Amino acid sequence: MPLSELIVGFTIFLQGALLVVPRASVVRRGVEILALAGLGAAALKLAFSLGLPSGEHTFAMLDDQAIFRLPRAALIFSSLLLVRMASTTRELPEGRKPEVIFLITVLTFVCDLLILSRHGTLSMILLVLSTWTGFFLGGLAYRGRAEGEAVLKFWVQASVSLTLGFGAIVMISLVAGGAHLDIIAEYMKGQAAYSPRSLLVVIGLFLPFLMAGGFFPFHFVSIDRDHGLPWTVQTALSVTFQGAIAVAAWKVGVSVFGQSSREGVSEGMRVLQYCGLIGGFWLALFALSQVNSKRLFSAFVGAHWSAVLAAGALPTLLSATAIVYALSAIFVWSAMLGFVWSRFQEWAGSEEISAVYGAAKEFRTSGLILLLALASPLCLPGFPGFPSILHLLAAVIEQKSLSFLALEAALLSLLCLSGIRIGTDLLFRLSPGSTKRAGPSEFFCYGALDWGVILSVGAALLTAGFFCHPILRSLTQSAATFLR
Amino acid sequence: MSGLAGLLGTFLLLAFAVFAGGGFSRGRALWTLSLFAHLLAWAGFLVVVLGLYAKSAGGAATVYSPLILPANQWSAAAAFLWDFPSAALSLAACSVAVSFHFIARDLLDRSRATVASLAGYLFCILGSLGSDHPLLFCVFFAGTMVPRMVFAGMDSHESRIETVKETAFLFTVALFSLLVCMLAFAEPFRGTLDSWFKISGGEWVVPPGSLGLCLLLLAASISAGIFPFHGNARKIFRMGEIERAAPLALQPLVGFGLLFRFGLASFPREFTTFGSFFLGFFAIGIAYCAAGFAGARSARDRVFWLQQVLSCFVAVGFFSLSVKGWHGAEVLLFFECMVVPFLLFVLACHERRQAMPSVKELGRYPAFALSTALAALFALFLPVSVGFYGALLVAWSLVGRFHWPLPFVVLSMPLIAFAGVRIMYFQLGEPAKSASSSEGFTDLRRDELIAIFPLGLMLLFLGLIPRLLMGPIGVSVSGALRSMGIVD
Repeated sequence: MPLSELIVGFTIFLQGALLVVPRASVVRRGVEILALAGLGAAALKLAFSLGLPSGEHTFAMLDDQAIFRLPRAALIFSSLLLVRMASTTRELPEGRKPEVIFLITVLTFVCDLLILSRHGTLSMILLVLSTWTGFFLGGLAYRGRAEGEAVLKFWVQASVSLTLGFGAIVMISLVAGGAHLDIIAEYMKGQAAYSPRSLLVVIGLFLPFLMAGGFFPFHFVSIDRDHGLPWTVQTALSVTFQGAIAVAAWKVGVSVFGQSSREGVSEGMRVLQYCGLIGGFWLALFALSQVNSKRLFSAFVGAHWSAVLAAGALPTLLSATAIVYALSAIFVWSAMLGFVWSRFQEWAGSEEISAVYGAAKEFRTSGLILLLALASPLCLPGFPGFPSILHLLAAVIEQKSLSFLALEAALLSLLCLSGIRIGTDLLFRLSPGSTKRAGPSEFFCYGALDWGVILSVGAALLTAGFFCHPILRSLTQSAATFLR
Repeated sequence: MSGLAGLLGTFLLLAFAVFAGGGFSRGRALWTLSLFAHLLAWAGFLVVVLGLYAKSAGGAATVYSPLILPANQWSAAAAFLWDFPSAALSLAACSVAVSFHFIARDLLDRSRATVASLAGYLFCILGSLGSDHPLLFCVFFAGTMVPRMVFAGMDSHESRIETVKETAFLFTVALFSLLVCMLAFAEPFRGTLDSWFKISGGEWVVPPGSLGLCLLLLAASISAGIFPFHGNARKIFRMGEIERAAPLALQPLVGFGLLFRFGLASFPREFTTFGSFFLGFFAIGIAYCAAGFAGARSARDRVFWLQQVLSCFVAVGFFSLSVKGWHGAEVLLFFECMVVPFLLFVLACHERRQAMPSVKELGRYPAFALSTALAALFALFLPVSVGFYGALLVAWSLVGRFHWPLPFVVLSMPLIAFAGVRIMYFQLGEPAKSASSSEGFTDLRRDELIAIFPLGLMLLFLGLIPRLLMGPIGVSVSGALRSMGIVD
């Protein structure tokens, strides 16, 4: 088991032990400190082991590939912000915050394992586990009808994922002779392109991921599902949960279909590419028309995950580097965006974006954090968004298809337009209802823990942006091992 | 030595932008520091220009900076390289930024974001002018977006938000076009293009070069704000405080910098094939913009159309693909990036004054009259302005080579002269204001004088002794074109 996993696992164990202590204030503080310390240590461990060789901790079901250490570190880094969100929000009942923080740590652990998994059955188990963790998170946030509806939808989704996932893995095992990714990959090598059997494997393998993650053809699921949940849970689901599933789906795709002996894009990766493109366009256009901030955030982040999946159909060194770097970047900036945006909305006491027009200009520190978060989706140099876009476009150019290149560029432009819209609305617009906004300005007074988390995540963003060259070089070397 | 001065001048502004954005200083102290930083940058580029000027007699006209900045895993040797035209343009941009400190003193005093944006914006423009690698250029090009958004959006009215969004979106499209273009025609993809762009089964293949040319021109025309994207550029001139538009008026430097430095070098065959078509297109554009200039009803519109005329002239000079044309275009680009901000500063002084004197009373306000006269002088393209020589060279480059576009260029000149006469007194054509009493009218204040006259006098000086600027530019341009196999 990788050390980072052990650290997070031990943190969960300690948090669980602390939760039985009857003194509420001690529990809350203790659980939060434990979560921050454990997650921070695990993220740093991963970040500092980027250049180390793969396979130190490879088992039958888990595979510690060096190339996935960056997205795993980013996932855990983003959880630091989620923990702070859960601690400071007023949307969650005070008494339930320790449990929410505990579940966020569990979700991080399960999602991290999902990225490590190299066995179909384990992936399905983890997929269902993470869905159920999300379901419990939604349940803990229950305050009224809105949350109740969200929990009910989540329950439906979790049940469908469970049925679909295990049904699919049984079917694949029967067809391919096993559920290990290597066995399925071997089976695929003997199949003709786009034959019914190969398409069956494609559908069976990807459908549970697409269902649980809310990607096309289930792109509407996550937005409807999350509507009504508190910002903390919403951000955890859009960033940690959906992002980990995107990484895992791409990893499964490359492991099973990427190593096909046929040249060009394999059918499995092509299906994933179409799902990314169609879902990405749908979500990007949906985001442009949204006035509800939570739905806008969900669609905006979801469209970014889809756009990255749409670019990584050809598993080459460049493409693998581009996809992993871009996915890692989204983890961090989207968590930061959720962190600061949620404060604006909570301060305004509304979910409508019109309630926070110009708020970022009013509260300069939060405005600066917002700019820091939006700099990446707006492709500003010095932040990870610019090298991400550069490499994503290069990855699509490698596929030698003008139509896919045009579609990907159009999708990324639409996403930039959404980012511009969020930025201009929160920074420049004059608020029509400033008299209504009676929220206390304490929302924007950041404590020492807040600053610690913001500065460490901000430093991670800037390091990944300014020093993208050594990071990308290291990723390329790891990608060679992974693709081999 | 001069390479280091250029680097210092460029990166000092980045450091200052971070400092200003961090909120370590505010108000007048920040303004003073900002002025100091911009003056240092100006001095740095003065050293570069003087260094190049001293060497131009011997034929060497470039400085290679010692900085190696790897932009990504493909371009390990991306670096800065200033030739005389880019160094002169950098110096002009720094001069405008220094003058901006005086004309917009109140604005900079009260808005830290504007101070940081000005430094960041100038840093990106200087970086893009000095970039010797297309991907490094893209980095600086991308960096100009947020400062542009801040200049166009801060303190704006609700109606301007859509303009900010439109500008930013167009910019994103330009950036993506440029990225795709540069990536597709850079290593490791160069040489494998023929099989890339198959539409269906290889039956119809898009010629890669023409696709790259279209993407490059799209990026250049959006960033330079010329046709068909002039509508967006026009909206910039409609903001509340007109002096805010002055830094944005430097944007053509980036668009044309892209064309001059990387356009012909990347697509020599395509530019040679389609160059005459684009030349004719922009020659008609000159006539159209000259008509717009003559028919403009407000002073802001006149400045906008003058900028468009100059941009079209620069484009015509570029597409002539001749030494004369490029020489004239580079000179005109320098003139454009100095004269448009100068006119905006003069216009800002006019707009700040509620009551305006009649033309007869102008003699009582010498500084005001002189600034207005200088503005008219430059807008008329008289032989005392360097713009005259630039336009002359561009028109001359067409003689004997491009027959049908030439009449459009020649016939536009009277229109420009007529419009230039109208610009002599900005308020002409706005009778309600010009008829008002001049009571309470004051001459230019000290800040306004410091902002306007150094720019105006520098333009006048270079117009009176054009050889100072045009000689080294000519040497540099002919050297660059000769290296690409083009001689007159």
